[in-house]
Amino acid sequence: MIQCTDISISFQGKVVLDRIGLSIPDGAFLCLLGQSGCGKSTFLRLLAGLLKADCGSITIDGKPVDGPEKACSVVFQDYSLFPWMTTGDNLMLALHAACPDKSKAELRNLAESYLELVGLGGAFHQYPAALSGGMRQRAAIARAISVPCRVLLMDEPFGALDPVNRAMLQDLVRTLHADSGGQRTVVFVTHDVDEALYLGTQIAVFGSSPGRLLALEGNPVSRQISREKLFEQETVISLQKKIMEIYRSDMNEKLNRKETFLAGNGI
Amino acid sequence: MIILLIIEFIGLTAAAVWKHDWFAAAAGILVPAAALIRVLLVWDKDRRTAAVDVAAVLEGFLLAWQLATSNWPVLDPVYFPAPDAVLRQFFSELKDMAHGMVSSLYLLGSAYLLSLATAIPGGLAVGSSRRLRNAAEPFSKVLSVIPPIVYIPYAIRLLPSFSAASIFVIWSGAFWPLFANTVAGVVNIPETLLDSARMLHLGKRTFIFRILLPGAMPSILTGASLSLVFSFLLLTAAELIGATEGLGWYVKDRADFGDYTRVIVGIIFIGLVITAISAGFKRIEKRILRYKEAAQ
Repeated sequence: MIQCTDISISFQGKVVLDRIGLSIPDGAFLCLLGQSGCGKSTFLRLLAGLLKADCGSITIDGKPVDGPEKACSVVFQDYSLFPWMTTGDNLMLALHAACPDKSKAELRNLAESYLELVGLGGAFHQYPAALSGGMRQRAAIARAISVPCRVLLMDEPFGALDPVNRAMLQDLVRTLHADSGGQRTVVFVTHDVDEALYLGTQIAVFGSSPGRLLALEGNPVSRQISREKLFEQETVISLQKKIMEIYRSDMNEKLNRKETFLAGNGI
Repeated sequence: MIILLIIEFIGLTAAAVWKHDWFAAAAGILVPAAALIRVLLVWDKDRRTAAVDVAAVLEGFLLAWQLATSNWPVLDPVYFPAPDAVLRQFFSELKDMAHGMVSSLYLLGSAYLLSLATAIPGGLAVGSSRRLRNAAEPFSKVLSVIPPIVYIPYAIRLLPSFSAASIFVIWSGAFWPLFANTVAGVVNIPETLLDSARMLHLGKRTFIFRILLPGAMPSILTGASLSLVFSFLLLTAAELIGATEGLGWYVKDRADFGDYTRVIVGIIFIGLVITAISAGFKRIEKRILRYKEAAQ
């Protein structure tokens, strides 16, 4: 269980996140949905312990997050893998840090099995530069789930991929989450409403400037149903409409605020 | 260019044979022969053209040199010896020059290794700490622009031997480019990549040797090749001033005796040695950075 209470953070006087309160139950797949600049990536870094909030608290299973959090692993949009190591070495580095008692052969077997799990059986000796963007993200996911962690944080992991690869990787992430049997919580940042509807069991909608939580919606159908059928579901369609409506009103409000500001200046 | 090369080849060989300049004649044959072998071995069209072009320029230079010194001596023979004499001398001086090279490379190698051993750890430390960086910046800004040659008098007075003095001078020149590039290399590692590393909870040693050092490596290598160039410059400068052996000293000593044939021989030899070392360096660099090549 991840518990966030009243988190705020600002950079150089600009409020990026404003009093976010959110609790994420174990085994949830939470999609953080919002436009660029709404602070959703900042929120993810706060969960990971890579940033420190100005005020408010984050606890994971009751323990406060302070510094890079051991319970979490992260997949970024790019630069997750170290380009100077082969894919296999990337995994083995993470595995060695997580389980220092294991022998080199054991680590190697583990790394190979995780690469196979994401469909990269032959890529052990390849450098990331030799892989396609989709393969690189597969390897990054393999590294993230190879270490024993309860929370997987993903920061727009498929934002730079072509539609075919994106769909394939969405399927992979969904399957991996379903296979974990409620043992792993996923927090997934995206700006794509359809992606959030397909993947999330919960969807948190963020508004921008300052970043704040507009709504937290449950998405109960998504686990059981295929991609083709999903967007024929009445509940999904209405949720999609609802989220779009939240977006629109947030945008309008922002535009109105700007007008008042300008009017106030007497222009 | 091929036609030009053939004309030059015929001209040079004829001119050299006419004056019984057998070494010059041999060079006149070897240059086009080398180009021919390269053309036969290399399939890339650009590189084949380049081989012929380079040979034509070199052959033309040799031809002009041969004609202006041996056949019609219009240039002062004291300063401009004929190619035949230079080549003949080159081979007979090889042993002496090799001896000088060992002495020079000892100085160069020690100073260069010393700068690698100081600048890289220092650069990694300064690059990864904002506080150290702010503290070091004013010093490195002022010190790095002082030409190391000005330290030579001091170094010779204060240090016990000429070797120690020149190693110090070369080190002080090689240090800054390497240091600055190491710092820049660390600073320019993408923040996301460092965040990825932080989330893996690596040990300090692992973090330095498997993340920081390789992350900064492309930039470190740029600095290292700059440093190498500075080392050569300073090595020769130091040897011109106080040495009793070495390649720079060889050239200066022969010039003092007015032996310009050997001066030219020495210059050619220095050029060859530096070219060979640089080529070796490029190979090492390519090997270290092979992960950048997108295979297939």
